[in-house]
Amino acid sequence: MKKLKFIGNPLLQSREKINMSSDKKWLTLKTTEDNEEFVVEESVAIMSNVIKNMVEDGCASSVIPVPRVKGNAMGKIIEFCKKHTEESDEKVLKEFDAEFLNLGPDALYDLMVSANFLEIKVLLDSVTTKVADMIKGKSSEEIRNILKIENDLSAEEIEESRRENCWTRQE
Amino acid sequence: MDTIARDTTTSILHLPDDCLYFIFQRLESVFDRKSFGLTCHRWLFIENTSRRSLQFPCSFRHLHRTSLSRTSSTVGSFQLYTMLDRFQHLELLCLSGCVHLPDSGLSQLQYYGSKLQTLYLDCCFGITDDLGSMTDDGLSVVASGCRSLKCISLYRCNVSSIGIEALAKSCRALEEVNLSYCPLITDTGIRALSQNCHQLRAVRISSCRNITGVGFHGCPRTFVYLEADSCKLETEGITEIVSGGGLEYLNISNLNWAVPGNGLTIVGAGFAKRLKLLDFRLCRTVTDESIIAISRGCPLLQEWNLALCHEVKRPGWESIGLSCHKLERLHVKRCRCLCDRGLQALREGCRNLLILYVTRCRQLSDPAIMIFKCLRGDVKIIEEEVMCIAPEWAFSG
Repeated sequence: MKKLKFIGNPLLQSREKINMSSDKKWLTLKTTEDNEEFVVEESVAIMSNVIKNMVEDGCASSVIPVPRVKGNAMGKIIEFCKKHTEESDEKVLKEFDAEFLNLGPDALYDLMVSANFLEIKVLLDSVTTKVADMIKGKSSEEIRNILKIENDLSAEEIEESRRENCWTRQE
Repeated sequence: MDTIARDTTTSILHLPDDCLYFIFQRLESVFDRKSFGLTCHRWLFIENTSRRSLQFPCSFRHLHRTSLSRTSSTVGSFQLYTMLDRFQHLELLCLSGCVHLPDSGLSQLQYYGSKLQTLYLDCCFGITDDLGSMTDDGLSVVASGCRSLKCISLYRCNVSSIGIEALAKSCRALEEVNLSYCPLITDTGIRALSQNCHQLRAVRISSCRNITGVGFHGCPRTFVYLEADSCKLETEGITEIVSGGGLEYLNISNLNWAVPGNGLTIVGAGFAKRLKLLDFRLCRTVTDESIIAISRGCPLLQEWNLALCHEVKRPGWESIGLSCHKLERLHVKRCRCLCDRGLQALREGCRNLLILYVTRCRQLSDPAIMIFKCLRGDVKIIEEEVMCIAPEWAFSG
């Protein structure tokens, strides 16, 4: 059974009511990996440059297929875009982002890949900043532990790299 | 709530390079960038390809407190070879002070120098352009490998006009060229720059005794900055220097006695209308005729250094007072022929004057200076000598 998610007025029950209700334009985004559909306002959807271009070029039909992004990631992304479209207070947005991005590394990567693919600059900036903050001030060993990265550099390579780093001026 | 983590299998390995570059760019400190690079191969690659500028500790371009106490390590070909092999996307390379670096040290630039825009080779005494062979010398490697070069500095290098010619014909995007204290450079090299580099902006040829200035024939309108102090320029040379029509800063201080005093009149003949800063310090022979022509012909003049210009007399000062409406800073230190009437002319004119650098003018009386201070309270009087009036909008990298 197709799952239909309404991101908007929780009182409305059906797609017909949404279409009749306002002069806002609505789009349906369908994640092709797991066939989840999301009905969103166009103003929210076009925070993604990819979708914006499709709409402007007139290629967007009633249902826009979105590959590579899974349903639950899409839901989160739409939640983010909606907040950023509705709210203009910087402070409120900052608090929202901090709360929103309070996720583990894997979840953050998922968001990052999707934001990069959909070209949502604001989200990409926020997530990359968050990941960068996680590794600031940490040694390479600590970074590998936090982000679960396998060390494929040999001891010699690390030593050589460190030695070379000393040759150059600290900038 | 972490619903995403349950469903997803994305890990750091799935991140595309784009994302890794974004993360890397958010790291500002050297420590963080180096830690990033030493995490794994892929991240080391990201670090290496992100690096845009490279300097060595012996470099004195950006003198730092800690560099003074450090013993200068010898940067040889091996270190440079390794660094250029590792960082292949450099836009700025500073080798200033690498005094023992030979021509062969630059060989990697043939392969990895295509993105280089700024190259500092100050005091690289080992770099030459061998007049015999055109293939192995350092400067021809730079010419062939670094075609995007915009700024090059060869202060005190053993290079000649042949090397500069090769450079100019290949690196057509050159904008800033520092050839100060390169005694072998002649007008031939300068001509190559003027005629091949159509975006040429700024040139330094301080103490290049073999340049007369005629090489600037055909210089482009973009040419706005020339530092030619202690040169043996000739009158024809000065004509060519201003011929481009765009010059804004001209320093010909300590001009050789060979230029007759009115040889500078040409500066005021209309070609240098955009001149804003003019340095005639120690041009002992410049006459009133030249001063009058320049004060009329250079309406945008903001700063004029006439320190030790002993031949400027009352007609000259009067002309400055009358015609230099935009003048803000004037240097008249030790001008032997600046008398009270001359100072009066300056006081009654030069409505926009902000600073007057004046001291030890033997014909100026104390009362005249007092009157100036009283009636022109808007002008600051400074006694300390300012040796350099060069603006910061060139060679600031």
